[in-house]
Amino acid sequence: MKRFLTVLCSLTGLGSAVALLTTLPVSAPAPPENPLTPEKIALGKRLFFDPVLSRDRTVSCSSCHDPQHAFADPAGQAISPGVQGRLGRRNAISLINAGDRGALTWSGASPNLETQAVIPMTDHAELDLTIEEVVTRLSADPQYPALFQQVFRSAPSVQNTVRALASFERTLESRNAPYDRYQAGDAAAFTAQQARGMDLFFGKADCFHCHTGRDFSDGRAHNNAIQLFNPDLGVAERTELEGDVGKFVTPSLRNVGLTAPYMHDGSFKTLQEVVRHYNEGGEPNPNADGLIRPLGLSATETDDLVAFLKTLDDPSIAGNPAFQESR
Amino acid sequence: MRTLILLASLSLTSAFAAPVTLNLNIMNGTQPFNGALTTSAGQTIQTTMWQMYISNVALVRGDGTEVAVPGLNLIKLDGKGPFQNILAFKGDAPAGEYRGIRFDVGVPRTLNHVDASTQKEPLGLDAGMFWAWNPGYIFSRYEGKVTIGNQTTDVYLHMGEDKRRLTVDLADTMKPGTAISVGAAGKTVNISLDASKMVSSGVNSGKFDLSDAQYLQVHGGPVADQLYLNLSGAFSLTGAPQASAAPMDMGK
Repeated sequence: MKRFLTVLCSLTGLGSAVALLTTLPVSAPAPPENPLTPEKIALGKRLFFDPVLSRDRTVSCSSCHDPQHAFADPAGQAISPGVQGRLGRRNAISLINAGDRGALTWSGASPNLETQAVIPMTDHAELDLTIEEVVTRLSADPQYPALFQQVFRSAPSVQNTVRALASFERTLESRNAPYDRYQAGDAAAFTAQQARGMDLFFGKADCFHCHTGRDFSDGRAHNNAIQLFNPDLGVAERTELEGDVGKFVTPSLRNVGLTAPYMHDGSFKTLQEVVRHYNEGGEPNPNADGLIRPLGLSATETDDLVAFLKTLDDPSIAGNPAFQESR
Repeated sequence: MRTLILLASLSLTSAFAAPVTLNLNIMNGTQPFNGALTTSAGQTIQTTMWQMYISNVALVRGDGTEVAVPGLNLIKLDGKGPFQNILAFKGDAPAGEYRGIRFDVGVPRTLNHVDASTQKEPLGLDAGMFWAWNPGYIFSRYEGKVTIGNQTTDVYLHMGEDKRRLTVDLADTMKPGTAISVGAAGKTVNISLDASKMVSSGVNSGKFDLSDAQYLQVHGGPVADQLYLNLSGAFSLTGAPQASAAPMDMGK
């Protein structure tokens, strides 16, 4: 639930100055252990764009979660490189509205943004620091110790680093796509083709079974049969259950037109390719979800469905100053 | 009336908590451990870190019943040591005569799936013991460097998950030699951990061979299962027969 708070804040000197009377941005609800404050959000935003958190100081969170592409991988990249150009295994999921979701990452490994942030920080192919090195790195920085004191009244720690990052990420909210305006009653927000596509999405194409809710994700893991064999085990990496091999958490379809390529490995370049995959019934994977089957969509219906998917895009994200690196 | 009050207070005194301390000495076979750990394949790891949780401690009476010693501790060692006389755990228990002690290497199930970002140390994120991409904590986090040929490589031996919570049973109700007498002033229980056992056996009765990549970065799977088995025989009361550990419950 969105909340608007008006608080009195003093000037913080956090790079982007906070006015004497300021309003917290629209945000996902925050847990009681990590309440939102403007100062914490500002610190988190600074950390998000700062390569200080990577071993070779070349990669930041924004390197893979690009504001110009709804905080997903930069244009055309299936997998963004980490330190020293190392490639991981998975496509970066969009962070838009991530604060409203429970099962984060493709394998649903993290219940919240705080614990999720530890993964890329410590992954060998991403930022590649140890927990201890994060603290050492920030403590040795000329500015972060003072900033952490201002916000948390303590020295830099991993706990507070992820709390700051999560606070900024909770402000990455966007539900002002043509779809939202259409649902709110603006009939002119959709073309006839897009409306036909919507009917297919919620009907014949059956997309809504998994891509459901206001962010078009059920938050559950499914095997969508994109491969016959799964080199990436997905959820089974955590559960070690054979039935979970190749299952990945349903991604949100918000801004899907802005976040190509698609699937956990970025192996599908276009939305047409994605729809064609589902229309053909996928590969005969033994763990394939029972809903994966040939859909019988015509070429026109495929185009209509793709047109509808693009109504979930909010192009204003790329230009929103609150989402950009502060200069 | 005053006599009754005095008698009551005297009887309560014996139930007052006394401090119980686990004092850990890490060994390398029969020698004190100095940070160099040699595998069964003859490769030597220079330790850079070893951290493990101790929890679910209980003193065992002669009739087999237990008295819980509440608390949880994280042992944190770097590569420099010391590796002897380590405070592994401290808690309070009633004074009395016991036949031994039992504890877990790991975090209790009720805590193993909490949100680490909300926890205080030693269960917070800064302890470095929370797997961000896997449910739960790392129970034993051993890290070091090994040189094979002219290549130096990092070694990560991380063991966790509910099924690998290692129960170390240092109580034998049949053998008075394991007796632990806790007086009003408390008791320090000396235990040994033979580090060499951790890397003594590999998967399928093979060697723990670090030239095989599966042994270099262990976070789960068969090698983590093997670490569990190896460590299950590694603890002992100092000067007493070797410990036994509960069999791994694959259904946990």
